[in-house]
Amino acid sequence: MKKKEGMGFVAIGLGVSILVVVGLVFYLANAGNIDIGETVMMIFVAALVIGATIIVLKKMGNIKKGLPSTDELAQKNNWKAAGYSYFATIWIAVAMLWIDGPIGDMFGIEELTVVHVVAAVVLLSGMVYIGSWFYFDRRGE
Amino acid sequence: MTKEAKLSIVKIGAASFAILLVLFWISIFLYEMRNGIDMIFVVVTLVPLIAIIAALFMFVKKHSDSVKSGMPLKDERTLMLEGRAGHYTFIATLWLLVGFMWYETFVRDFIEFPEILGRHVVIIVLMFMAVAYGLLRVYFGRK
Repeated sequence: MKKKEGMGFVAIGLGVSILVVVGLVFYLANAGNIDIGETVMMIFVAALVIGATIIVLKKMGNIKKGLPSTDELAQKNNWKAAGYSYFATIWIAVAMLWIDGPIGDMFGIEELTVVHVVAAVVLLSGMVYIGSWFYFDRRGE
Repeated sequence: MTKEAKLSIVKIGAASFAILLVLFWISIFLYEMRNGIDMIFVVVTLVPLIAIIAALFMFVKKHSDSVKSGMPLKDERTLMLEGRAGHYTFIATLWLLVGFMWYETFVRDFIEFPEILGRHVVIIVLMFMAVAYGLLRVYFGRK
C-alpha cells in the first residue's frame, strides 16, 4: 500500500472515531435520564472508539516512520483476531436466541428487536476483535 | 501431544457439539410447539441442522484420513486459511447487521415492508456466517 493511500485510510479511521465521539457528546447532552442499559452501551462504544483510535494511531506512526502500515505479521494477527471474533459472534448470536426464548420467558425480558440484536452483536464482537487484536499484537507471534 | 490424541479431542469435540446442537434444536422445537406443530419451522430448521451434522462428520473424516496418512492435523497454511475465512465472514456479518439496522430504521419508514423480529435477524446471521465461512474456506483452500 502506498504511503498516501495508507494515510487516507488512517484519516478515514480517525474521522469516523471523531464523528462517533461527537455523536456521543450530542446524545449525552440531550439525553436527560440515562438508565443502566444505556450507560453500559456508552461504555462499550467508548471502549471501541478508544481501541480503534489506538490501532489507527499505531498505523499512522508506522507510516510516518516509512514502514508499511500493515506488514505480514500484522496481517496475520488481524486475521487471527477476526477469526476469534467470528467464533465469538456465533456464540453471542446463540446467546441472543436463548435470551429471546426460554431465558427471556423465565425472567420476563421483553422480546428483542432488530436494534437490540444489532447493537449487542456489533458491540460485543467488536470488543472481542479489539481485545484479541491487542493480545496478538502484544504477543507478536 | 500426539496427533492421535489431538484427533481424539477433535472427535470428542465434534460429537459434543453435535449432541449440544441436537439438544438445542429439541428444546427450541418443544418451545415452539406449544401452540401446535409448525411444519415450516421444522423444515426450515431441520435442513440446516442435518447439513451442519453432515459437515461435522465430513470434517472429522477428513482429519482422520490426514492423520492415518501421516499428515499433521493442522499446519500453518490451514490455520491461515481458517483465520482468513473467519476474517472476511466477520466483516461481511457486520455489514449484514448494518444492512438490517438500515432496513429497520430507514427503509421501513418509507416503504411498507414487513417488520423483522430480533430472533429472525439472529437466525439469518447464524446461517449466513456458517454458509459464508464454509464457502470462503473452500475458496481460499482451492486458491
